[in-house]
Amino acid sequence: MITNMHFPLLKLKPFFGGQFGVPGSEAPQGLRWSPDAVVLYVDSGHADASDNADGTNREQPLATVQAAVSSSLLTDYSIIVVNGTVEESVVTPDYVTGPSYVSIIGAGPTGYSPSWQSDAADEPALDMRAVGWMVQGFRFLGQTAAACIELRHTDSGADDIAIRTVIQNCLFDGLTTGQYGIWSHGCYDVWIIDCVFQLWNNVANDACGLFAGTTPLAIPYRNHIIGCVFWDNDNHAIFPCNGCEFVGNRFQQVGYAYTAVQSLNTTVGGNPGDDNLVTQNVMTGDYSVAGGYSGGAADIWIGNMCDDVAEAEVGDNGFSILAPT
Amino acid sequence: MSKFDDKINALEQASSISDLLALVPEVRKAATSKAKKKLAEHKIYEATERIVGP
Repeated sequence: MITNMHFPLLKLKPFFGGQFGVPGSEAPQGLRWSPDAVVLYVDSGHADASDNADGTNREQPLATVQAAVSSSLLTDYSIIVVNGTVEESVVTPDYVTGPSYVSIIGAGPTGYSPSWQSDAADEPALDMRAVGWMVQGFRFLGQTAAACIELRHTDSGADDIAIRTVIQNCLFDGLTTGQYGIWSHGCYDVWIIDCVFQLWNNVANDACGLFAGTTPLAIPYRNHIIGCVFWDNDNHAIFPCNGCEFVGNRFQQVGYAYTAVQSLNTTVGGNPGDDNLVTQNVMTGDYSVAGGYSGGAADIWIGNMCDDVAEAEVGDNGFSILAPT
Repeated sequence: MSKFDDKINALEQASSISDLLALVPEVRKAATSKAKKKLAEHKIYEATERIVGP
């Protein structure tokens, strides 16, 4: 009788079947071509889930995301498909030792699932240290002294660089006690698209949905914050940066439950940002520095939809013509 | 050649992120105008991009 169902990987890469999204796996000339990457499955709720499995069979998935992220099978352009519930603090390899352009896909049954929360109050759910990884489809749940996703840029080690990260279609839920949704240490070429940041609220009122913190190498440069929703947070986006774009976001200053102190701040004393493009956003409430909107001296804040038409920087038609003062 | 230009040249010669991290404070200190500060930040970006690769 076989008691250990989790065999070591005996098959060779050339015999992988075609897998959508994996370059080279379509094997147009039969099984003679080897795919350039693998798909690994993680499902904590699966009866046969085990970190002793190789993870390439979705009926014998890995039990933890960390096992997939640390897998020796993981190569550039690999895909990690995640189901179940994630309760762990995952650290990716650095950009020298680990693969680049890996995708971690939430494949649960609803819009934002599975949920993913760190198992430690002071550690991020996902600590990103490699180049070009993509995260999609999760419901991240906050912790009281950490971010859901922390983007490293040499602050934790010289080779910890998460430039070109893509985070899309995720919900960042602060649960009214969480610290940060996304915490960037200055990575450039980051794309944050169609995400929701809500309920980042704590006793100190210094919680924040999108935050740029300690930045030893640089503050964020050429980042793209597009189509995101910020509501019911102590602070929506405190994100000093250079040459970034904020397009199509919705900032609700007075939310259903909480009012934001800072809605969008692209320049912070001691960490000044500049030359950002802020356009086509919905910016409700007091469109002023005192009201929580603040930009660099050479930022362009035009064509934003504002209800504060009393400000000189907002036209009578509600479109902004200048950065707030 | 000015001290700023020297530092920018050093940035362009850096071969590791550790080298870059050591140079960054010196470059920023040598950047005495707003234009030089912006150029310095862009050169740090270019150097990182070159070292990390595609």
